[in-house]
Amino acid sequence: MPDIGIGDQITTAWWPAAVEDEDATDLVVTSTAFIPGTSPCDVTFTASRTGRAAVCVAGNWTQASAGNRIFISYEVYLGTSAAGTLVRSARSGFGISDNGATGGSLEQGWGNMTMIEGLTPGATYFARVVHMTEAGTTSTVTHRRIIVFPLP
Amino acid sequence: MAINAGSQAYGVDLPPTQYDQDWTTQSPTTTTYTAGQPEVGVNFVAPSSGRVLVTLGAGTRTTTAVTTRAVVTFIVYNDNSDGPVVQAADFNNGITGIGTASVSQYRYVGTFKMISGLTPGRNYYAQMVHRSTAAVAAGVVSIAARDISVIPLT
Amino acid sequence: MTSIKPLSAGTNFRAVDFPRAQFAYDQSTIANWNTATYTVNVAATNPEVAVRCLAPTSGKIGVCISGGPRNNSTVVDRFFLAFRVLEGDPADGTLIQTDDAKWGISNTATSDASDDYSYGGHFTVVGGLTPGVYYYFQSRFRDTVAPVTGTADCAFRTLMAIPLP
Repeated sequence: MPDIGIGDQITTAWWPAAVEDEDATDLVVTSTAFIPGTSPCDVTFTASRTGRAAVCVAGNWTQASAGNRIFISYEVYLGTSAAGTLVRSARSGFGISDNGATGGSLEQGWGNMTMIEGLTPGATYFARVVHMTEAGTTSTVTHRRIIVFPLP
Repeated sequence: MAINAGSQAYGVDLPPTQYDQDWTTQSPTTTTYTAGQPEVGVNFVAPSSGRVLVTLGAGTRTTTAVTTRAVVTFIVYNDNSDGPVVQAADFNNGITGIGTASVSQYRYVGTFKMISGLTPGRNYYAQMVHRSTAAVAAGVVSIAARDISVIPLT
Repeated sequence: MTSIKPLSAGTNFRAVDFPRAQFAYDQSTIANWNTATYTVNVAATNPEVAVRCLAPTSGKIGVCISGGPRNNSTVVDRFFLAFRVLEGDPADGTLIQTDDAKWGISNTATSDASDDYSYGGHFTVVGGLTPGVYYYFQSRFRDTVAPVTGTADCAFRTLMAIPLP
């Protein structure tokens, strides 16, 4: 993908809009595989001419299921929904998780930022927050956020 | 509004990134937000999109076996901290420390929040604030190394 | 050092205004670490995670470092993942910014037996860089300084460098 060239005028193709979504619905986490949950947190974005974007995920959660961590991460699909081709599957290392305390823990929260590259310039993509737990049934995700912005 | 196709860039499209940090230990004792001493904050100019990314970083710990945690977040004002609040302090926009009833050492981590709907070209002030999740004696909950950055977005 | 100016009204952006953003990551787990001085890699098991990025006209590059550290001992022990900034090549480059836990990530050091990999990232801005010069952003890691004698692990390290306005 071309980098920004000398003398190029800035256009929307280089810098499509940054987008964010948040959801404050409490979700009890029971799935041991990444799922979006019943209250989605997702964005549609346009890939810039560089094909690179930054993805931030952040959230708050309560790990009440003792010893079992909650993981929050993201997936990216080509198109406007998860019906499209998956271009990045969720990895815990691209997201956030608590530390899995024996007795469970009260609400905590932070975030992470990683890069996705090799996107098709000008194409529309769909990025969504997904979450899972190691085991247990009483941990809760209380707030989720995803931000995608184009990178040079 | 997004930058229009074919247009030249203007200074107002992507004003400078602003950032600040301080490593003075803070020790919140109440659930009321405070900016601490010294304050960590930045003046920034909103870009033509009206959107910025605010990033925060902090180290938090609890030195006795209680579940009380630090909460570190930010406020955005018009102009300066005497101005109207554009984005009120919200723990969901910030960092809340690990919430177990055990002694911990500083855990350093960060978070990210977009602020949108700002007036292009207008001056704003983003200020870090913090509190604890319950009333607690001084030194039980501590915050080290606060940092904030505001990045213009398209 | 060249005076750093914000982008002027009416200016065309140039390549040096926004060099490309860089990203590197490694999914391996650094295990049972107890070295208290910053280390770049563990030969044969955990490679270096680093990127080279060209400084933009603003002189500012945003760096996000992330990973999943944990304590794996019965004493209060932390794994620190941080980065340093060198000018040019690491072998002969000038140190611009040293490693410090305060712009990195760490675990809480609780000696809770179930303490497990806790993923998160931390973004800070490195400013005052000379436009048009290559800088090397190198993540390094260490364990808690003595007299603590525990060990800690870290799963999955990422490092991102973004030229900023």
